[in-house]
Amino acid sequence: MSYITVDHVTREFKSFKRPKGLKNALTTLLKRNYEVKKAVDDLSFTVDKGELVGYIGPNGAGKSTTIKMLTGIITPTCGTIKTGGIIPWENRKENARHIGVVFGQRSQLNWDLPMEDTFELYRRMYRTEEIKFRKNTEMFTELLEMQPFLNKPVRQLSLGQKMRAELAIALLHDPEILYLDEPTIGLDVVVKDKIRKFVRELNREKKTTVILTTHDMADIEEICDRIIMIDHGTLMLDQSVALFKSQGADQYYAEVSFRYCKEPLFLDGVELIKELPFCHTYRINHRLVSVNVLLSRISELFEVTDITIKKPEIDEIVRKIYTSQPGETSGQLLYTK
Amino acid sequence: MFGLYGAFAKVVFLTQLEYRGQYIMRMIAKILGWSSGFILLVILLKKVGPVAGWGLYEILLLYTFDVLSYSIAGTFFMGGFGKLPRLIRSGELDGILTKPVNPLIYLICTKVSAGYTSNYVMAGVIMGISLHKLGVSLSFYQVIWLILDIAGASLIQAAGFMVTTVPAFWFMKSDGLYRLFYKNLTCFLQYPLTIYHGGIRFLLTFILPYAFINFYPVQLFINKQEVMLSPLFLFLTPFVGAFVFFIAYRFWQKGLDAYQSTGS
Ligand SMILES: Nc1ncnc2c1ncn2[C@@H]1O[C@H](COP(=O)(O)OP(=O)(O)O)[C@@H](O)[C@H]1O
Ligand SMILES: [Mg+2]
Repeated sequence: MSYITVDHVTREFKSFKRPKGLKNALTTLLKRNYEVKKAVDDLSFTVDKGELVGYIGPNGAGKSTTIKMLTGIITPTCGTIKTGGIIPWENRKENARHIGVVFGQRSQLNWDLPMEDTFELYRRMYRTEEIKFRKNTEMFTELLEMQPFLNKPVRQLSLGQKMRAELAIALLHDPEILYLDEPTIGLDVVVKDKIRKFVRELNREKKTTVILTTHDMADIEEICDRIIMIDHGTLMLDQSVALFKSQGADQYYAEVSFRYCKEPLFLDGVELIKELPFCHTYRINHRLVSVNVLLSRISELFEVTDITIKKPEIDEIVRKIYTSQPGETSGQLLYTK
Repeated sequence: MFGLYGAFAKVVFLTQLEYRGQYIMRMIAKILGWSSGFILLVILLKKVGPVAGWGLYEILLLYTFDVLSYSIAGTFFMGGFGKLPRLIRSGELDGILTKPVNPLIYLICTKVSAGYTSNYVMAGVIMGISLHKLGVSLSFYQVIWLILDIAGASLIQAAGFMVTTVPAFWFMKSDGLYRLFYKNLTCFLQYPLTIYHGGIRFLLTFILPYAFINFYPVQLFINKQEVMLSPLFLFLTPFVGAFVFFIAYRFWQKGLDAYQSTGS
């Protein structure tokens, strides 16, 4: 039995069109004209208990809208969702006991209170048992390294500290499902890394099911086992992270810095995509050029000062998948618009 | 259960007192605001004499019922509902809906306002003076009724706040409705309804029952029975309060169902 089921869910938003000109403004007084936009369009998927799912897609794809329906904040226009046997928006309170939610772009914390006090209020709100509460606060404080700022008012904390605090309070009551909507947005690498390790550790310890949206491939790579991708509110693909990465893995980038260059690299499967005075960036097709050949050609042509190899970013793979036809990617795509 | 919400309210309340400078400024602004209106009213009444048979202290009693119930309602509802459109647009409501609490009670408690304490004191004092000057000494039962009336009147005021701001769930903005159907209409409460056109009395009794905030209940204490369909009106305020608040609560729930959240 799946733990989370999303079954043919559609969510529409009505937005009023701003009239242009006086005449149009007057006619809108009489008849409201609005646009209906499908943020989520006939979406179905299931998630098992303990899975770590990366939920991705370009901006405006409908990720946050899906999370809001899963958490019971808004209702679908049609279709059904069940999480742990509950219809979220019909049993908001009941559902809230089983979930933890973090929105990266907004805070739930009381800015005047230190974390310690907020912990205590949340313990009471979720009626968390004293022992569990103790254990969790200790574990989170240690893993997220929160000790130095536990007794400072939240408004004095840095963005990274706030985000760790958000994570901790979302998890104090041992929720079965954790929803993270862009939790690493705007954070530096060190904090991102702490958060990733923490979520992984949490899943190992407590079997927490995690659904995470992000634009950072490293988040997916280090946290998730599975990727669900949507665009325009419809499912684009649903597969393991390993498989997903292999689609982009036949391509990588080489950034070559040099003191001197005879001529730009010219090979089948290599393409110059950025040319700066002493730095070229090439896109390399893994299948057409072996690393050996590439390196020897480079050392022939350049007096190299530095080489950086970059794997494609998530957005790139995403873009690549969009532009390719279903046939080409050998049936890995479930659906292409 | 009450303990939890109380704990949230306490924290929020105390935090406001901590910003002492800001708190005192607000108090002063509130006192100046109310007292200028109050002084104007007294001067006017001293000049023109009784209005439709209502003397200065009777009208002041009307005034204190209004201010007191407004302040009680404001303490709990202004923070959440006065800024409902902002709460919706900022997505703050999202956070409330993912907590195991009653959204309305949680909203009330976490937005409780310490800014009305001066109003309580002022309205209380003026009420005492007026009753004294009118030679009214309250019996035990009358004290009970007074408390019930203030409670009912506060619920009516709160329902007024809610009903005129909850449309923000559909239209994102609602300040126009709030100003028109709450702020402007409650202005009529300064004077006895006797002086107004029958249409207005009908409106304020049966459509938007603001008249039960002060005009009808006050008459119990000063032995009047003006323009009421039945003497029962003297005692209806707590029931009207409970009824309209229930309707406002249902309306709020409908609003939550229609809640669209905000794009991000
Ligand atoms: N409350 C809302 N009102 C109107 N339109 C919305 C609302 N929320 C989201 N949308 C629209 O729905 C689409 C999907 O939004 P969202 O789910 O936030 O995308 P994502 O999180 O994937 O970036 C966008 O086009 C957005 O403008
Ligand atoms: Mg989003």
